[in-house]
Amino acid sequence: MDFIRPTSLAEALRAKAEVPEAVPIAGGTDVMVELNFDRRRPPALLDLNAVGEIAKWSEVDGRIRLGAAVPYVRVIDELGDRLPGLAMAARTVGSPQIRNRGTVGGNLAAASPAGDSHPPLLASDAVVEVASVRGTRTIPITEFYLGVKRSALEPDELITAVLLPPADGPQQFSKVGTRNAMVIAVCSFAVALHPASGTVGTGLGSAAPTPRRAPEAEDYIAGELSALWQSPAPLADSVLRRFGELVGAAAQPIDDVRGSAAYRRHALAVLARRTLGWAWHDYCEGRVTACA
Amino acid sequence: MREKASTFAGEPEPSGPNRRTVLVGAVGAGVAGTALAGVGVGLAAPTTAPPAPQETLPVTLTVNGVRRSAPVDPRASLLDTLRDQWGLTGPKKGCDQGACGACTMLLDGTRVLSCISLAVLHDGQEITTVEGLVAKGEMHPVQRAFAERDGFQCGFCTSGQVTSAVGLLKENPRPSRAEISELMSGNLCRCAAYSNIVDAVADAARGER
Amino acid sequence: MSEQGIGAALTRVEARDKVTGAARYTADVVLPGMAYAALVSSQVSAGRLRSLDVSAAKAAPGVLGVFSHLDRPTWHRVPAIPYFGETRMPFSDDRIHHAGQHIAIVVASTRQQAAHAAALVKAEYEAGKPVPTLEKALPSAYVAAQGNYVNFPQETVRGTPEEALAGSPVRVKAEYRTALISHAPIEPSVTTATWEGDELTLYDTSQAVVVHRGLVATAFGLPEDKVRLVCPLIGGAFGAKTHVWGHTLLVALAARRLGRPVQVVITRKQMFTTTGHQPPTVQRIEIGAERDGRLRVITHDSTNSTSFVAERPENTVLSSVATYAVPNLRTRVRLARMNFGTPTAMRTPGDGPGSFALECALDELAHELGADPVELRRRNHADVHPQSGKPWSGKNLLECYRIGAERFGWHRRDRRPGTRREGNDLIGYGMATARRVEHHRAAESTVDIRTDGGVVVRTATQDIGGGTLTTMIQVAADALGVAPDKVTITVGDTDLPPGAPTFGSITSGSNGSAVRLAAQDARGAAIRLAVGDKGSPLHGLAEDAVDVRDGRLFAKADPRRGETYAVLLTRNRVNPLRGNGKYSPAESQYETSTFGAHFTEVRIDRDLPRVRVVRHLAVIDCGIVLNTKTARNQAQGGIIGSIGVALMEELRQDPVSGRALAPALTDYHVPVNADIGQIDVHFVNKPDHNSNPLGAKGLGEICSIGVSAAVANAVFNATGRRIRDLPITPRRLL
Repeated sequence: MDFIRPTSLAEALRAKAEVPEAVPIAGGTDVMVELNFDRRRPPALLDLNAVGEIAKWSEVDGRIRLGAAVPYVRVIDELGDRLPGLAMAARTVGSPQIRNRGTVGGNLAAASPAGDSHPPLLASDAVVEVASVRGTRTIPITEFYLGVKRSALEPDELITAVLLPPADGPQQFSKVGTRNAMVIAVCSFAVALHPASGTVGTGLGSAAPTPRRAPEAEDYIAGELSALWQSPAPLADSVLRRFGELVGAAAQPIDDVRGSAAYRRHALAVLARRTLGWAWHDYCEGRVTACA
Repeated sequence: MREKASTFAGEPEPSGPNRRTVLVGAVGAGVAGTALAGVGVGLAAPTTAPPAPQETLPVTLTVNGVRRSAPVDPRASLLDTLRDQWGLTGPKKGCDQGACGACTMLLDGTRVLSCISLAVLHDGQEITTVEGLVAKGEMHPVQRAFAERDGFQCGFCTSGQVTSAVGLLKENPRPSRAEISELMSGNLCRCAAYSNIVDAVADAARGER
Repeated sequence: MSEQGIGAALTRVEARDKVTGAARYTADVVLPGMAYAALVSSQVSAGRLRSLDVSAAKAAPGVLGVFSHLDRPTWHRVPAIPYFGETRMPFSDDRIHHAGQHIAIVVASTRQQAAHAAALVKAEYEAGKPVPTLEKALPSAYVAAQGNYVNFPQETVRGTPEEALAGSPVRVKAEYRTALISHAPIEPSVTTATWEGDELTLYDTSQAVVVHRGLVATAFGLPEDKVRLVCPLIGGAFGAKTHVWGHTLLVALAARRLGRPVQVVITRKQMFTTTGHQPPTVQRIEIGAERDGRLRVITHDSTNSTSFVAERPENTVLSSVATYAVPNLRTRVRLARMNFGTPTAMRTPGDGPGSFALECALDELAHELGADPVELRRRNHADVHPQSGKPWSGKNLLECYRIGAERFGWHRRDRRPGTRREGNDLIGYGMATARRVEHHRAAESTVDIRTDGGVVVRTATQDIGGGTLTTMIQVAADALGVAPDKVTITVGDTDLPPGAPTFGSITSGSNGSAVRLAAQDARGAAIRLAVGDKGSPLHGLAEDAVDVRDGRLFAKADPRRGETYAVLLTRNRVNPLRGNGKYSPAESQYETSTFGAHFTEVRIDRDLPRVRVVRHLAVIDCGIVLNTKTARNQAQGGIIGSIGVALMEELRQDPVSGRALAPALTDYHVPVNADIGQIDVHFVNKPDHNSNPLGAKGLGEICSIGVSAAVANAVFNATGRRIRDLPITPRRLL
């Protein structure tokens, strides 16, 4: 097994072009689990730990550019105010040890439908920045996921960053697991309110072969809220329930070891109405973003 | 009886060199006696290093304050490297999958899972394992608290629990009990000494304030 | 008898080693020239190996040898069972009985080389048609013949059960299911084998070095004294290391063939597939009772899965046989074979799943009768053993109910299910009885008093986390009249006097008794030495006129007259003075069991609906408690383990192949720290001297029995939903 340790992005991209089957590794928390469990080793590992360009975050043109190799712990500690939904999701990833090493970039690369980052990325219209020796391109998050553990990433490309608008309204994330921590999601849900545009973003995890949004639920709730943004008032329970139902209907879950399809659909509806209720409550209280 | 002794058919039956008693002391007689004497067993470095694999990379790590270098198989996890190359026994292999926390160590002061990291990823970095928390023979406050509170039973997950707790108190010096429970959840204890673990971490946090 | 340490909350003697990483477990043993093994697992669950191509593996860098059934291992004999994992010796043919079965062992210079080469072994299978699950195996369930593992009555009849049922004014009948669950100790099984000529030394993760030595010796055709097994510390087992499994023998075989020490640390996946599990059960219970709640009859019909290479019935029905005073009874246990690994004992075998069914059925009866569940159990208290009619050696179950109900606040329970709410939460209370037969085993120990006043206990038991090292020291200190810090202990080596296994809750009672007898022997010898020694201030006294405290022998009538063990032995040049203890359980006029009562409060998020155990109280009657600190910890752990069984643990199988779907700790969920509510434990703490000389009984199992039923009963109280299948997942509550 070759071990390639580039010290710049350019070098990394050259290496990836030469050895497309090289597996990129940063924190290793996803890659190594797969490797150890199946006892397989790829022909090469591409160590991204010395590639400074992808290990930091910055604000670019009003968006947060989150480098692919920034660990979850930094998202939690440093971006809780600007990316509250993603920070909440990051706080539920594995354990503190995993959050100290694991990255949003790794979560995207694995493209598992259960990955905790995906719902908030979907809810806030994130864009994935990928690069190769051929150049850099951006992929809207909704077009990034192609199937179970399959993404729009080409073999010679590396994920370099994810671009997100800072929260312009309350965001929430919630996840159901069989235990209270250290758990892969049975299902998860993120919601982001966008008062400026009068829209609501959603993201569903472990609900279909790929992470996805619930467009009908988004349209429905945007309609219900249209009169309320200016003069906030509590939402009727029936509205929350309808929103939940539409989110549940957007799911195409499966039965697997972690839960049944029927349970997932049900639980997504519950998560959706709860998180929307919390987010709207925050909005009514004038809290633009949830506390970190 | 010897003719009937089991072997693989058609193969010679070699007789091994005399090594029956080597290192037995570290296990048989040692464990409890040394515990009572209050003297750790110490590191038993392998007396013969395994032959170097054909493909190795030089790796230098500072382990518990000591710089160590070795040619390392790029496939070797950080955990296996510390155990097999340098004879550390504190960090344990429980699942090899990042799911139990028994291999927790501090990497440049931050708690990480060494079974799902490769040694070659960490060239030049500093590692602290549970052994390195003992300073001049004095246990770390977290270690003392685990001992006094009986924060373990079989003890196999304990190195990871203790190291994780030290990392936790660095991240959050004044955790509530609920926070301790949540932030120690990356360390499974199948004996389930969880209540005592929370007590121990809470004690240590109070002591360190 | 506790002035010298018994019952004290002593800190574990090995605490420092365990918190500093100095404690040595089996995988920490490194021998010179040691090679590393990796085991190759079958990918299919039934059929045979059509071909096995090991050429690439053999050619891989660092590989020293690859062995399989093609190398035709010649085992001397199948070792006696029980305690030997399977009746089929590893690699004995090309047949596949379950996915994960060892089909080859690869040995290389390094761990990484072995793992890599193992992945290069190519197997082609002639796949058979597996019996994938217990469900599919049920139609061919059968009653096993006595013998081998089948060491309890598979069918029991008391009185006239059918007539009694027909005449019962109140009847409840239900079917309960428990899941396939896994021990999942954090320490995987490890074996390191090394040969010197025809002498074999094994460093093996073993819950019973003495028992296992004999089995290994048989497999290799060696006299027992040519095999040495070493395992002082076990990193958790819960039954997974009760039996000798294939990897232990294969590593020993490879080490012999290669002429160097070989170690295997089996993978987490292999822990799930090759070191046993608790089999799933289907249990049908019918109870007939009088309107006042007195039981007339119980029928309990139980089926559990077993493998095609071992028969292992779960003695679930003993709960119905031995817990309550019921005049009529019929029980039956059947086995159903499926293509999965072989089941084994798991905390707590038989009574774990059995008490779930029985104690839930009692709760259903209580509901039917409108009776209080505690009162119903009191009314059916078994004053003598309900099957044999013998008296109990000691039983304080009524006290467990009383103390438990009082401390828990049981009176606050509302009998009407689904009535207590708080916000989104439904709140429920549940309870159950715990009962476990106390097993006794022969055990030996020596206790040496040295001229420096120090004491050494030597006994080949092992520490699994139950505090054995500390409690055995406390027992010795108490019997000798010395401070516990003067005593050290050496365990876990077959070169020591044969101690008890660390399974079946045997250690405290049986091994503790051996240590006590050895210490009494040493103390008696010292007193005899003193009273017969002209140089001793105690010379001439009757033996029973001498007492010992803090290491000093003295005249009871005049405590100033005396001398220390150290002075006595030094003067007489006796070093050490050895006491021998041999505990041999005899046929008893008593029935001995441990008892307990569990009380649980659950809260259920009614939308999701997830169950949380927020509060649990156990009152446990296990004789005298040797160390309250370690005992409380152990009991809390047993309770939490069973809460896991109640709420989350299940190794799901593929319905077609029977393979474990996710044999990994990422998906086989056991409780984490954040899952734990308040767990209170109270001990009755009365010695049971009719049971054994020490008056202590086992704790490791009794604490976990009945917990899953208490949780299920609390769930019913909270919701009105009777979940009869474990685990009680949100999916089932929906």
